Amino acid sequence: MNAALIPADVQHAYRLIVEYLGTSFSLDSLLDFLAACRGKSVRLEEQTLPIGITGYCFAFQDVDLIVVRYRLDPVRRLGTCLHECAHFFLRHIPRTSAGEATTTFAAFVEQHVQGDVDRLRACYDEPQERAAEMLATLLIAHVDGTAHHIPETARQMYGYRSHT
Amino acid sequence: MTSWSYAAQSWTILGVLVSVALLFYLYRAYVIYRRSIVTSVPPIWKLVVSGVLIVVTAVGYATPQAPLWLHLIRITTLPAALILSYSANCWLLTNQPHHIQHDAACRLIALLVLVAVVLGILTRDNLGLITTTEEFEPTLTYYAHYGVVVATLVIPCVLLVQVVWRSLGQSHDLTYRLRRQVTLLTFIGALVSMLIVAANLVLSMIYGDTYRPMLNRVHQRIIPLLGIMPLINAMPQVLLKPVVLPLQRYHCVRERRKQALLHILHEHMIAIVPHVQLPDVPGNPVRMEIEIGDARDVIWSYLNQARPLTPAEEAAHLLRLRSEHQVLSQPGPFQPPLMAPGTIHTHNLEVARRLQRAIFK
Repeated sequence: MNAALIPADVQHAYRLIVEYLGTSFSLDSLLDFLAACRGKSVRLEEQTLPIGITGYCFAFQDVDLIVVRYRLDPVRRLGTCLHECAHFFLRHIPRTSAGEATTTFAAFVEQHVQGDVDRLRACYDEPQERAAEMLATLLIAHVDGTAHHIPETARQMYGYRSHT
Repeated sequence: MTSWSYAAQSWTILGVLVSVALLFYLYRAYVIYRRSIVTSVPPIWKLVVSGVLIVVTAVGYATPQAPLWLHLIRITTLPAALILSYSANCWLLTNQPHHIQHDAACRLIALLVLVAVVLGILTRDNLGLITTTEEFEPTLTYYAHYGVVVATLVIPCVLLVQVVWRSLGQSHDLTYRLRRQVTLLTFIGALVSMLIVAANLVLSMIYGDTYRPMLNRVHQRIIPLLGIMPLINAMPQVLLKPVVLPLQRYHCVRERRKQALLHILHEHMIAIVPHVQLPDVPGNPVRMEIEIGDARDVIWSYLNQARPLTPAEEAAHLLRLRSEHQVLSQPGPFQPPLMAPGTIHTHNLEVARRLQRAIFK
């Protein structure tokens, strides 16, 4: 990707993540890092979503929720997760999505406040979507979707280039 | 050449191969020590000790009419070597420390080794190996002793096969995959050789020596092959890389062909659904797959289909849309059918192949 075309906020977030997590990391460690940055836990769920939408995110009082479409293929699932994470890293989502009116995740589940989420999905403007997608694309090269990497001990043992 | 000398020869070859592997392991241990890397020190020492024990075992089994002390050493060292190898592999493949004393299976094997030692002492005048031409009295203690000895070897082999099997998909690196696959084959080989000995014992109880020479021949041919595993596994990257180079080249060419095919499909897809494309990221293979998937959702949402399109149907449909210069900017009214998990990459390549054929027709 041409670095000159990458917005400054995307470059900054990307550098921060790679500096913290190294050049190869799992999705779980990225979610943990996100949780540490935001000061609340991150919840990843699957749902059946309308056509054209592969995922969305919502910041509850106590939980940041990332939802990806049910039974998405692994590459797109990872891409969608990273895209939604990118919205949080790029601060497109405030600490709570609906300000003071935001409920806790448990209250949301009880009340089925689906309306809030639906409204929020459509309110990202184009540059934000593009920035999130760019950051996701940059990150996808670093995330090993499953455990597709040689364990560090084996690397050192056999003389492969070490990640640490 | 007698059957005994065949057996001795098999174990000698195994011992030599493992000794060479030990030199490689010691070299790695030296490199690790010089670089002061702490994480991989315990596994490498476990593998070194395991190798030494296998060499001791090979000497033990290559010695005809072994006295009791040597017999006890060989029936103790081989399970110990396998347990150490299992522990090292667990550590290497999971990147988590593995402690033998905390592993229930290892404790069970240790207990069985003790039982085998006691039974061995009880049958000390009747230790003739069934895998050679040595004479033995077919007593209950003899069969019980060797039955337990085989069990002490079968259990770690099963554990090793399990742990290595789970590691097969860990990396796409060809040298690493070769190491893992050879390791798996060897432990399967070891397991088969143990099962041959077990079958030999059972058949000997029923039919006497009828099947013994035939089973021994198979067993003696497997044993030297087992030495290849530590050798390839311990081989430094510098030596292993040239071995897999032709395979790596072939793999690269195949990957490039696949990327070219995906590129064709991607071009067609984004021409029909342009809004799924992220500008300024040309030729990124992962992005291409994501964008193909997104575009497919939009295209299929215009079709009232209960099942996914076949590659032939999808290629034909894409060509029709292209020939009609259709551009889809909104999803259609229908929920696209779900494709079977794990089939999408192959499906994409197949659609691309059909598009390519149609274009060059």
